[in-house]
Amino acid sequence: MKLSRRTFIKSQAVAVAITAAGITLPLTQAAQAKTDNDDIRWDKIPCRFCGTGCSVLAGTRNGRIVATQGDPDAPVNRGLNCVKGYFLSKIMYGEDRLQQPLLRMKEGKYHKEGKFTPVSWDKAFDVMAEKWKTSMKAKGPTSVGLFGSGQWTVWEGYAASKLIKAGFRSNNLDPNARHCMASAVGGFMRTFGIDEPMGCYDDLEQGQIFVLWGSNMAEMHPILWSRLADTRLTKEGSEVHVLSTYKHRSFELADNGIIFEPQTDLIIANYIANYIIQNKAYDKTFIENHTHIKKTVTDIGYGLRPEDPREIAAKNAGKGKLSAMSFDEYAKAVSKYTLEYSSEKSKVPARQLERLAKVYADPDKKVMSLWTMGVNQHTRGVWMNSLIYNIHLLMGKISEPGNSPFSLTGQPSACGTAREVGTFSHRLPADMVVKNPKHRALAEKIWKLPEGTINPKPGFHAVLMQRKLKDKVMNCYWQMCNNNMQAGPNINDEMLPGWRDPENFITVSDPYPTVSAIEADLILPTAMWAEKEGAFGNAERRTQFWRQQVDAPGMSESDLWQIMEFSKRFSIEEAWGKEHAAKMPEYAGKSLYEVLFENDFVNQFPYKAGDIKDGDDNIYKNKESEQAGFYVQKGLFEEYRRFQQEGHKGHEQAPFDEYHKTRGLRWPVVDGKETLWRFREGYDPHVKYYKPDAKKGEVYFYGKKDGKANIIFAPYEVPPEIPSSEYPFWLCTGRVLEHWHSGTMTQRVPELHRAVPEALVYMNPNDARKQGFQNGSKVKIISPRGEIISRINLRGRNKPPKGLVFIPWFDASRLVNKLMLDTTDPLSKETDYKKCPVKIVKV
Amino acid sequence: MKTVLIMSLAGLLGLFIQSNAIADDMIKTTNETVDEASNSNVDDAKKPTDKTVDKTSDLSRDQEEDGVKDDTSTQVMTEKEVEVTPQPEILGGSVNVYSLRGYNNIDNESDTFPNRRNMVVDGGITVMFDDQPPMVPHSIDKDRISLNENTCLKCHSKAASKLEMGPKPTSSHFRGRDGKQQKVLVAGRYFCTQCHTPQAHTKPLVKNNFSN
Repeated sequence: MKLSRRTFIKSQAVAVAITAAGITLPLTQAAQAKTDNDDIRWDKIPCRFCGTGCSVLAGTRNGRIVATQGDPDAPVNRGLNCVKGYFLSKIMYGEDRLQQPLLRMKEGKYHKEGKFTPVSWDKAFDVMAEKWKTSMKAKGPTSVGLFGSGQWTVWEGYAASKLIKAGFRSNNLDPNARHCMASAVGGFMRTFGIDEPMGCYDDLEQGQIFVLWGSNMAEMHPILWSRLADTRLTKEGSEVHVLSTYKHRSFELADNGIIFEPQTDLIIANYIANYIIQNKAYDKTFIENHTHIKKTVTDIGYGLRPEDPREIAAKNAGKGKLSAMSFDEYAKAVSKYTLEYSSEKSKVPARQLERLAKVYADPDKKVMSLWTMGVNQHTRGVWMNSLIYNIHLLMGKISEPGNSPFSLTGQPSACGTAREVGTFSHRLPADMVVKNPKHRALAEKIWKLPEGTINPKPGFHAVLMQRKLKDKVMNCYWQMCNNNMQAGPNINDEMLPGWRDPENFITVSDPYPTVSAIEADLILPTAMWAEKEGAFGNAERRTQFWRQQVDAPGMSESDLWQIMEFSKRFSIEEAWGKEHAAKMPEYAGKSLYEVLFENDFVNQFPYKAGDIKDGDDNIYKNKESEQAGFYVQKGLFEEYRRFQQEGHKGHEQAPFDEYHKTRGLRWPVVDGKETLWRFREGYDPHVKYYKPDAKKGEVYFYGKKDGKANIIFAPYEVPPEIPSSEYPFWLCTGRVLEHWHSGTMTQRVPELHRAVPEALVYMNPNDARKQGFQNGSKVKIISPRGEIISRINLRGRNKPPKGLVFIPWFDASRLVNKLMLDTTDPLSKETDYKKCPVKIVKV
Repeated sequence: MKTVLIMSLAGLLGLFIQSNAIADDMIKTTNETVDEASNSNVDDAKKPTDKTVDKTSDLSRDQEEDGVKDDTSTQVMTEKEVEVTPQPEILGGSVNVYSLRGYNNIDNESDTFPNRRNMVVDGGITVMFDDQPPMVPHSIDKDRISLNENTCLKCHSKAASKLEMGPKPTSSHFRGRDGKQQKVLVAGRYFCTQCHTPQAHTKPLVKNNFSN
């Protein structure tokens, strides 16, 4: 029996009402459903692209997706999609899908200089495993590593974490999310001691004043922008303030559009704190009861190689130590950031800065701050995140509807997978870290490992992995679900040399031949999105599941299967070393697969074909479970949930089966109920758990031991490079609405390709005139690290001020991020893609 | 020749016929993409300019275009593997793998592209499936959407469409987040370009096999 779209919506709406007790979703738009084509099966699935987490309805017929529509009953998007979302149905059908493992071979054998040759999965993994074994034998577990993704499903990230951290005892696992929101994590942990926003998307309707700090929501989070626009255009007294280093589409809605000199957001944030203090607008009681005031060590370098003169010159390179300061000391520290000083340095007219400060300082105005890459991809990104929290904490404007500092996330599961599962080189699930012996002990208990299995030393992060490959410290590298050759910085100096070194073995898993794939030694064809059962976690802590809708083409397999299958090639002795393996005699002779995945927990849920059904008895496949003989995703998820239940309270997700019935739930989920605003009694059940006498409306930041958040003073510091006479322009890179990341999927959708076919150079008309350029002039953009050729655009959606150009990075033929310096925030290790000096010449 | 060989091994190889066929498809795919682009006068983005392109692989592609498949290596490997084991490790001859850069690898400069003009299509661009937002069949370079104005609505508002200036937004655009129909355009739909974009005159980089 096929489920019509109409009945699907009905049955799901009822299910939602039952499971998310207390949060009933009205049956809104079923009446609008179009005449259904009866042989199309409709099922919910979260969008594959950004961190917004829209839900769509996927229509399947004869084993293929034939249509996708906005999901009318999804609370995130209520039936609306952006242009990318509407074309989801096409992303899996680019004709050049990879369908067989491809190994570089010469004369029947693997050879670095060989040509790609189709091989069996066994051959692919045998060659790969042999390389990994040789490498681990010679140089130990830190010589291998896996670079994953915020686009992995939750269980893919979890399985990868187990494979690398428990299996290989290496912490060389990092996600591409390192490039995207590591600074946000750093900010949350330092200020609140627990990751992810306290508010949720409901703040977009509840709010009044919206401030965008380095975020172009109109293009990067279009559906959230639509909700924000709805509020701005219909709510009395509503305002939008937009801060950016260039004018972009979000300025179309701005009441106060602020263009600042790169890096001076640090100054502007401190100015606002100063304004609040000077005008005695701060909430003294809130500050006393709920905060500590701290300062961070300064002069911390730029995350470059230690031998770089800038690192040598830095007094406290890489340091993040906090020390206490009094309120008066804090007031004195920010007093330097006067209106005059801040206006002069940031090049923002004083009245604009003052207008912004006033809305924060007005106790009667609700403010939602939103930010993404402008704040995170910043050599002082962690500082900058905390500087925004400072403003909200000074005013007590936090953890309630409409008062909400909100760190938006870029990828569909940067939160759900990278952050919550902890697929970073220093993290474990549920905000735990490898450095902490108690956290390691809990992980070892849940994973049934002998004491001392997990390496206490953090592994190599995204940028460091590339340096270590180049330096031959790391010899085996596996990249999954991302395209780092296009995304990563400075590939000519720091990435390609390592990938092309004959001593190194590079594996890339991808559905399509990306620029990463063509540089690999082994390409693994990979199932994507609707071709597997999955779970994503969006930016408002909402976890959403989907079922496998269709089969993957040819020999493609999911990342999950690949991770598990690869583990079968290692005996526990090979993986752990004989000595450590001997600590657990019952594991003797077992494979890594048996220890990690057939551990009597993950494999406890039986599976047979036909088990997975929707409310109308439509049957869905689950290839990984068929192959394993147990319900793999459920086993992994339920084991993962133990970290939430047995670790620090506040991260709980619902049981696995609940999520297949809902349009997602926002964690912490307690007694079947999701949590919309955290840290305030009345909204968050954990406040009473940590502070039993808490009164209604009382705030308790339970991520910190004494329930107090940190206001952290951090000053302005100069960026690592600034424009010079030789390289006179700032270059900022980023996304466009119509393409997702490196364009691997969206450039293969003809409509999206035709919408934005190439990456153009957006430039100020005055600069162009001076250089002798016109709209459409062909130019070369040059940095000390490389060059690309493109065309000037003077009339498009982005309008930079004098001295800055913007170029998007979706275009494989214009690898613009190679121009970027591989500089990172020294604390979060996140790359800065927003300010790099370049020169531009006519071709 | 190859077809005959594969047919005769059908019983033994089972599954692997499919993967050989897939290998052929992959080669074909790449060719078609390249052909499409290089035949175009406007779009020279994919012309083979890369001197490092393997000559032998070029040859095999040329021959294939003439309907002659040169896949000696595939044949030999398949045969050899079958003799040793019923489960061959190597599934075919070497293939060329191209990224969206076409023939240009990462070290080579990419091909340049012409200045794009947007399509102008009388009667609009065909919509492929229900709920697909129609693409904009004209240029919008001079249109502005801001707090103060939305020039798209000059032709696409309810009132303007009565004068047959342009198609009006569908009923979905008058339904709020609460599901209720309203008389005026929903404010959340104010930014038309979130869903509707013009289309440049250019060919797809890769053929898309979606069908409904």
